[in-house]
Amino acid sequence: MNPPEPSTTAATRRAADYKSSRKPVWCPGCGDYGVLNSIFSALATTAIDPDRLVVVSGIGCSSRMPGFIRAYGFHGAHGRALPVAVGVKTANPALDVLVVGGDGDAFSIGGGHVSHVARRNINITYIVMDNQIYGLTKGQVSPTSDPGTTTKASPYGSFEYSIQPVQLMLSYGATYVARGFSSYPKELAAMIDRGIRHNGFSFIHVLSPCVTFNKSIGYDYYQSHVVPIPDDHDTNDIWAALRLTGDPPDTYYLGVFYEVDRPSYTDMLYKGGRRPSPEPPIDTERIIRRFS
Amino acid sequence: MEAVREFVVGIGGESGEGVVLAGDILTMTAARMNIHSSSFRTFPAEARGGPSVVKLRLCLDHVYSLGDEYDILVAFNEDAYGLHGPDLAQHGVLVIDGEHDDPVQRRHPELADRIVYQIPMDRISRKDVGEPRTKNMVAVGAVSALFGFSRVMIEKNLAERFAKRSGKILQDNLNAFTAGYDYAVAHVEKHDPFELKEEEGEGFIVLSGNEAVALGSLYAGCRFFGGYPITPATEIMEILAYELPRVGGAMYQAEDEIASIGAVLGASFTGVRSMTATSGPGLSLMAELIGLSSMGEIPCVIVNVQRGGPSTGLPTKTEQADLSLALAATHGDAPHVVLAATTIRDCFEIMQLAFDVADCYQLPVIVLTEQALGFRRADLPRSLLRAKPVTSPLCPPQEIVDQALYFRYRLTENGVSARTIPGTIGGAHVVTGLEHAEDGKPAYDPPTRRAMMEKRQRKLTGVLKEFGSVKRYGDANPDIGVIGWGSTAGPIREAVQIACGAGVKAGGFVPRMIYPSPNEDIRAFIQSCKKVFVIEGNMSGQYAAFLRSQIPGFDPVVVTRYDGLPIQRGDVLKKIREMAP
Repeated sequence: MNPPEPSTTAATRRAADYKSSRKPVWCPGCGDYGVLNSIFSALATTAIDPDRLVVVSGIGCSSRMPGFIRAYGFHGAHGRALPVAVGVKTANPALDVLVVGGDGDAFSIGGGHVSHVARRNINITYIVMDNQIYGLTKGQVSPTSDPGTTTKASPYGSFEYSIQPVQLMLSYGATYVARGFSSYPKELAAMIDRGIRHNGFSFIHVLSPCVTFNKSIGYDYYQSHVVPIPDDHDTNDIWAALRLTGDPPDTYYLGVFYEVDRPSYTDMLYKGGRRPSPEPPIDTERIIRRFS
Repeated sequence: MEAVREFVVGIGGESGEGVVLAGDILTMTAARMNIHSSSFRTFPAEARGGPSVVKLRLCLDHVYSLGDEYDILVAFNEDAYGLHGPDLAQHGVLVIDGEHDDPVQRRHPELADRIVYQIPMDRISRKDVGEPRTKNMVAVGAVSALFGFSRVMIEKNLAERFAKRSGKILQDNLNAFTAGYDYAVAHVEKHDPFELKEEEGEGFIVLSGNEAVALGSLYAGCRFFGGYPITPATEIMEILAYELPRVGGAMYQAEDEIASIGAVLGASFTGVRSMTATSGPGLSLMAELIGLSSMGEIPCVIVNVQRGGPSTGLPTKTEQADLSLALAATHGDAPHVVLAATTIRDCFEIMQLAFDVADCYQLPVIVLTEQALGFRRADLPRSLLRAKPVTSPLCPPQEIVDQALYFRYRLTENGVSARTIPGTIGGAHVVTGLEHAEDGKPAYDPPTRRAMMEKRQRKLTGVLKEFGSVKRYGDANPDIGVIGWGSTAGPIREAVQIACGAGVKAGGFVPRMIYPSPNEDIRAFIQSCKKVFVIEGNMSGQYAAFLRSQIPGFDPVVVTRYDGLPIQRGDVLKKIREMAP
């Protein structure tokens, strides 16, 4: 089967064109509403054809998002959004692939996949909505929860050190790494837009508060801890990017940390980055020689 | 003495001594001489060290099993004789490393009145050739001279094999071959009847079960493979890694088996025929996403080359013990299909069936093969690979769609709903592993739940009717009926034939489609037999237990084998004789 070709005429599109008829199921005040709106704006800016867009997710509150976007969607299994997205993109590089999910889906159950998809530089955009808690299961610590977090499953306070998603993704070799905040939708939309345009694996870490199960890490907390990345930051400098992830502590820099050009997986796999059309025939005589 | 043109050869030595290569060269030479063959190799689980053996059965007709005892045993050392000597027929020939003036009978008095040819393989390779690693070629040379494997063809084969290596490697191997050949001619007085003769024909191709699965998939239109290395399935991935890019496809070596099947589902979602291949531990890991494939109605094909389980078990040995896992496959009631390949040829042909069923009914298809098939090789006609490969799916996705009227999971009579792939205008939908309504929206209300469960289940009725497939051998009204599955098909077929030849009315029944179960055919077979037994390569009798659940009142005698070795025709024959009137 020949893959559909990308559309040649990029029509002008509005954010509303990407809105599905389904209403989000999130709690009032959930940070994910802001993220969804930023995704709508970014899609309108890129004018991606909704019929050539695939939105992939795993399981979690934020992973319900594909249902709210008018596009092809794949709401799969917990932690396995990235493998599915890799299959979609590899089988048909002409499609645009957006992956969405939460911190548990990405870094706990799905933690075995992120490093490999990053190092392979699969040309997809991964938006992780981090609320530092498991929301769907009503509040347990996640890999990004702060030490000391008290939940029903950590009644004496968590004593586990938390991971830093941006630092990890930089170390794993992601070629585009940014961080946004759901309260700053315009800036976030610009980061998503740039991520979609980036040829390679783009990772966007989004601070997206859970107002129901993690009240202490809410909008006020983030407002007092976020700082824009300085204008003079060099996005080609991996060491400068890494420094911004830990210095000073308790600071969340917002913006693009890092972006570098490296051929994507499908660039390397297929000549011209696209599956050949028409498909070359099987050379039956060569195969017979090989096995006789 | 009249020449005997059909015989079984065993080659045994230490892993690393080139036993497998020696076996491979003799097998390919026989195929070029138009001699039918069946061969099998075993080696230790570790990369190096431990005993290694190749069994090669040569016949004038296509054969379905490895036969029983060795007629010729080629032992690279006395340990190999110690290990495989008991399997050498009383009339058989032992070809063993050693010098004339140091007869092996001194240490092994039981060989006193047996046919023994001693060839100084080790000394010739070290002293005459100057390369100890060519010991195997000295043996091949001697075997060529003694039993009629074409010298010219072997020399040509060596030249092809080592074409890309340094000239010295080829020359050393040719020298070793010639030295072994000449030694046998000059020093061995042949007094056995075994002698191959070249037959008419264009030569056969030789495929292992794994190679047949890989090529069968390629010819069936598979263009995406996601996998993770695991013995004994890795070869499938390796062959497709080479072949798929040549036809615009892709092999993706994932980080684990969960990612493998995840990628397969993603690729299949875009309309590309996609598969993975694994063994027991990998299938265990894939369980959750097999359920997603069933629930989301995304076609996928999973090949499971069974090895001994549970846990890491016996990685390099065979078993038929993943049947229960394949039948359950995942949590919940998840309609899916289980096929089991019966022969090497079937490993090729069953992949077409698997992809057609998966595509047309939009569900996961598990294809069970076994190490005993994956590593066994047999001759096949060249015409098999000349057949026109399938380039377009049997049931293509829907093309133009009116979004307002399109429901991805529309309730239909046969349970199959029109599928669109990304890129199709108006066909956008969201696949979900949650229970959902016709439009794909999550829905948990009891009427929707019932309707959707029943819709997915209904597909199996169509699968069985359209694609159900069984094989029956031997007498139409047997006194003794044998039921088996998978690789037992070959041994059952030959045992039934031998029993019938000896006057016992025997019949065999082997389904290719295990689930949905062809119960009407099974019932008809049982009713046609006076007595029935089930034979399978696992401890608990998994297929027998399944049959008891499918055929009320059926309570067969069960013969099992779970020692890591495949069921042989001798195992089948023994039970037929035991139960015969």
